[in-house]
Amino acid sequence: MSVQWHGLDELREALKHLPADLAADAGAIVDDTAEAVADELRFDYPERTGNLAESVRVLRRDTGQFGVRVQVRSGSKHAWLFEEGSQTRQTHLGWTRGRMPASHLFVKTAQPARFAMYDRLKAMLVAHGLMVTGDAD
Amino acid sequence: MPTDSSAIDDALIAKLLGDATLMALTPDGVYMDEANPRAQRFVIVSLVTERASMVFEGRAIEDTLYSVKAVILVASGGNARAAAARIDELLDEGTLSVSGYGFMAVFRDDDDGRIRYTEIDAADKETRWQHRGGRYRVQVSPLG
Repeated sequence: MSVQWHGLDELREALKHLPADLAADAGAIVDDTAEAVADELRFDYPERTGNLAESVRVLRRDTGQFGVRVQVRSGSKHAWLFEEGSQTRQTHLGWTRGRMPASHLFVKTAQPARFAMYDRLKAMLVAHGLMVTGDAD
Repeated sequence: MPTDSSAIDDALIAKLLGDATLMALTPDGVYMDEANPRAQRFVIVSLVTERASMVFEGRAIEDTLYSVKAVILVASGGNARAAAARIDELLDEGTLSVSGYGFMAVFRDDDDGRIRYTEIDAADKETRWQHRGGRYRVQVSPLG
């Protein structure tokens, strides 16, 4: 009795390319998510001086052939104060107006996008024929 | 009976207020969002995000991300580093007793976990405030 497998060579070849294919597809999803978060932040930051919106950058980090790392950075020196609040606040005319409350805008924007990105990455892995169990979050 | 999500805020604040070591470092107290005007060494708790896992009957899990930071006027001689470390000791992998809920977990968030920055007072450029702490995730399940 014998069993004949067809397509083993093709399977072996596909497995050899799988990490690179996964990295390429994942890279597109991560890039897309980062750009969407950056756009949303630029839109939602207040327009008083424009510094906050202009300081939003998407930075791509080199992690080799099989990794993807993209960072969204809000580079303004006021970013922490806008995100987490201040004890004091001054208007553009120089009047002290008491505390500036925390907005938590960056985290509120980035976290839901990250969870949605995990779902897209999971779907991409399944599309490549892999089985995914559990959740990243 | 519906649960009151504010009980989670209350439990978190009570836990911090009840710790003598933290209160020695931040004697002006623990506040939600805003401190009293003359406070110089205190803790600020604020809600960042909240997600609920739903089941047919309602919410199964409430997952809330809080910012918890020590705020110290540098001239007061306070120690923001020690206060933040104590907050972390109390909350990361700690416990909470929340009225109307079963406790599941509290821990510092894997991403965006740390908070640390120095604020230059808007009115007096010589005055500095230190803000130091973390973002903590609290997961609880409504009872009944």
